[in-house]
Amino acid sequence: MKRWIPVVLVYIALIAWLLFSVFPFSTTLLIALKPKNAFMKFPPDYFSMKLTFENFKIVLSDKNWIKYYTDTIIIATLSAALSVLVGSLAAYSFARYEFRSKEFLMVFILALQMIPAASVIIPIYSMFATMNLLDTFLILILVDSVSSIPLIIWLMRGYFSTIPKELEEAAFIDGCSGMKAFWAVTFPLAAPGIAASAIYAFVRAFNDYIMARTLAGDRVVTYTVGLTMFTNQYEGVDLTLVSAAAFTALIPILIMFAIFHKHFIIGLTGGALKD
Amino acid sequence: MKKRKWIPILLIVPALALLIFVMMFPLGWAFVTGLKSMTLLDLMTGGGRFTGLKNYFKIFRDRLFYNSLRNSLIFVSISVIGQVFFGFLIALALKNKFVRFKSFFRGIFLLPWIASSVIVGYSWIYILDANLGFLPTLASVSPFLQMLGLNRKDWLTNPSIVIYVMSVINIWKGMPFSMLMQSAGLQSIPDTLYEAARVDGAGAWQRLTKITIPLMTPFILINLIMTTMITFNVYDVILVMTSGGPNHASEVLSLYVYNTGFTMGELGYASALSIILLLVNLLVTILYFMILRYRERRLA
Amino acid sequence: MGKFGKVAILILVIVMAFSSIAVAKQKVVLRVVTRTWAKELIAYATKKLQENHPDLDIVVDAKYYEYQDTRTQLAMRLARREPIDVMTVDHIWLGQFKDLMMPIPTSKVPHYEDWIPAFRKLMEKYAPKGYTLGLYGSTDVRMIFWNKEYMRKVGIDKVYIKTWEDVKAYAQIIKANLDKLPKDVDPVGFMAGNTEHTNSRWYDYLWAAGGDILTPDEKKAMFNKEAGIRALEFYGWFLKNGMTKPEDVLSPKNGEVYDQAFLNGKFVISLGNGHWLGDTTARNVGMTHEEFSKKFGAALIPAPASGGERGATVAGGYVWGVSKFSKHPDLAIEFIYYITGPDDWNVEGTGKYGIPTVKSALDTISKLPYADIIKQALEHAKFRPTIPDYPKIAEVIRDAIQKYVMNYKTKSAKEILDEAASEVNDILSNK
Repeated sequence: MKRWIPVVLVYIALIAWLLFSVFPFSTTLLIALKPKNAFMKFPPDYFSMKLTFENFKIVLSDKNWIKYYTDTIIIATLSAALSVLVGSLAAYSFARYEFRSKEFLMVFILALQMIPAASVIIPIYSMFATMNLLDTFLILILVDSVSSIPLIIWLMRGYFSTIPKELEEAAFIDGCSGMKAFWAVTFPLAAPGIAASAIYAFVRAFNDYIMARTLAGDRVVTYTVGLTMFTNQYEGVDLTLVSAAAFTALIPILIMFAIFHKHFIIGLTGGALKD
Repeated sequence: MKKRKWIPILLIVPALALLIFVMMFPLGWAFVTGLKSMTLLDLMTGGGRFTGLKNYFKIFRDRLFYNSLRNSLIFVSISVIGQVFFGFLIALALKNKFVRFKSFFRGIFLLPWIASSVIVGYSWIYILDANLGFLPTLASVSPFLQMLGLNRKDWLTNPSIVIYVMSVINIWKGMPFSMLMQSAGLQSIPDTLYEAARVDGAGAWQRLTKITIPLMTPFILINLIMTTMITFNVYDVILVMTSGGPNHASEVLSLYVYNTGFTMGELGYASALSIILLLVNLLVTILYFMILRYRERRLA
Repeated sequence: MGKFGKVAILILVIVMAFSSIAVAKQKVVLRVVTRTWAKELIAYATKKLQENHPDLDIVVDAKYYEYQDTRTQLAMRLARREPIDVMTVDHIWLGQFKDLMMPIPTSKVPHYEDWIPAFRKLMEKYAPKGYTLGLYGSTDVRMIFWNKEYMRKVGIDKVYIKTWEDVKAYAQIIKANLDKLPKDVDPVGFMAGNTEHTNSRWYDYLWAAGGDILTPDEKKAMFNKEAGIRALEFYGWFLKNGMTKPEDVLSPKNGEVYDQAFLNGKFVISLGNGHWLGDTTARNVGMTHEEFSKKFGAALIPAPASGGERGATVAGGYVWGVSKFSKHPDLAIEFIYYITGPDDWNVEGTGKYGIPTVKSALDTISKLPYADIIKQALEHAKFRPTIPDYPKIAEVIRDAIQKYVMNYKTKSAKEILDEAASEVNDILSNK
């Protein structure tokens, strides 16, 4: 009798948090599936079973929304590529080489990560304003990359140091140059870490709102900023339409995570959670 | 092999250059601007005039600053304790061998963490809004929710609870990060320890208090401190949901910096505030290093 | 550092090269920063401008923003000298933006004399003689509204609201009959959200009681004098007597949430709404003028039982200006004339609705619901201060109103207004 009690308790806890996790998203989906007039009365109509795909049709045929979306994908992809490349180079150096002021540089990079976004966003704005770079892809790519680089360095350094130096040296002896040995041996071995870093950087850039809202939002519009424009474009609050838009934006991330979340978890936890 | 000397530095240069360009320069700028009286419109003249420490003196008389500091302390302490506590519980629950569909659970749990703050903000507005929200509407017809005391409508408009509502939402959003960190920690405890304890007749409770918790302490500590540092700078969900209202009741320090700079256009004052925010972060970082040192010394 | 510097310069050069390719060609691009509701107006003015200049390839690049964002965006863009041609400025921001707007010679504006003198005075306030800072678009007034259907349900067929006591009396009847209305309906509502709407709707009552926001020289706060206390206590009466709840009126976001809640049937009486409630807001939820008039009643903002002024209202509205950095000022002037001027007020699809500020179009008011009341209200319309510090002051006053709504049980209106007044005086005195 005693043995099933903990089992039930554990499952109750897991399922409770599962429902909690999903609750806001399912509410959004419910609203998105409602006809427009469901929220033009008091109290709002949540409970009738009249559902429609009309809102999704409107949103998915909205040219602006599609443009916001592609803008976001471009920014997120390039920024992930940049931060993974730059981050793993630095991490490799920290993991493999001994040099003067290495300790200092590592602390310095970690300390940079502590700088709050709120502290630098105003200067970043005015700095890039004088360079005429506001509202470009480049600025968002740069800023988004920088926000993930410190963590990537930290993560990848751990990865590279678990890969035995001897492997590389063997390749080196076989006639590879230093860089070649890195690409041929170390890089593939560090693949899970790289995958995790890439996903991390992608998601961060994909979801960024404050930088995109402040530094761009005119020629370059990310979907997060676009979502807030949805509310305005139709003046008044059209819950159903905004919800539909929000949900369409969530789906790609959902799919990506359904496929990659194992790699992500394994990469982020250094392989501790393989099951 | 002679080249070796500059290779390591060369590898670091791109990362360092980016970080300095996008983080250090702006920080220096913020420091200088903090000493000026300057508004958004003064950007044009490159200007504003130097007023020395005037902005900083003003901060100490600014009731909205103290208000935001208080909100930050509430927001950070509840979020951090909640995230680490539930992260630990969920990680523990997921560690059990009998639990099936582990990666399914983990994947779903990650959802709030990976969803954009705008989507998260809107979703919660639609749940909590007094006149349109799902929860108030449901609660007005559900005796069960009324019994639980959930039949209120002032989630986002009652100044004495809105900051707690924001904290709970932040726990909801940040728990997965703690769960991942704690899971990694739990995985590092060898199974043989538990088996030995079981042979010695230790019950589940004893195994938890005598093995798991002591061995997990360092992970929990690091998790606590990292989450603290992250949470002091979190304000995007609040910005989306209430912009800090009503009457600044949900305005945390980082949001106050943002609102002062961009909504009010007071660049000089906002920069001074942002330096204070940086100092708060620095304080936490120093604490982090002190604890790490202490641990290393004890392990050595 | 040398290396970093070089890398930075290299990146800069590449980017500059890319961004410079985009420009060129001999077409004219008119850059407009405006509000979200102005799409129809922009389309109309674009068409007129293109028709009048067949020799030019005119492209209008318009950006639409929400209320608060419009101000921030204008400030940011003008701060970096972006060549914006046309800017839409809430008239209460005039003081802030006066140095960034190009004074327009009144001789260049056709029918300049057609603008109502009060509005002309405001447009010219910060401009040299013979010039104006912009052209005033349509304006708006506030009224008190009620839900006729609900009123009938509680047994009130005809509603006469002239004084504050009338409102209280109706509220008491409604409260006694709340069981006849859907659950959770409040007898009375007023705006106490996070935007300046909260201020402007309260000013009506402040003025109705004979008070003002600032002293006539605009150097000191005056809203904490007796009239202000009475006006705030008027709000407080409904809270104290359970006619409304803080959480129902402190809407977290913008004014639209409150307005829509009233249209949806959340409140029976709304102390203050823009006249546009029956026009654009109703249209947004798919309600025609006729449907609106059938469902909702309206009256002038009431006055206190003794003394005071009935019908006191804020006159809102936007000034359309030409920025100092405009590359095509003449085209821009023509453009804003099409938007604000007397032409085509009666034509569908021009986006010209609301209350005209030009005399020759005043008859179009009769198309609006409750036109006669709007016309009366217009005679009592007043402006808010337009000094540069006004937006800052407005935040303080809004905070005070919200604070009172939240703490009406423990703090007096006087206490809260005095606190706010001393803060406003600080802002006004030292900068």
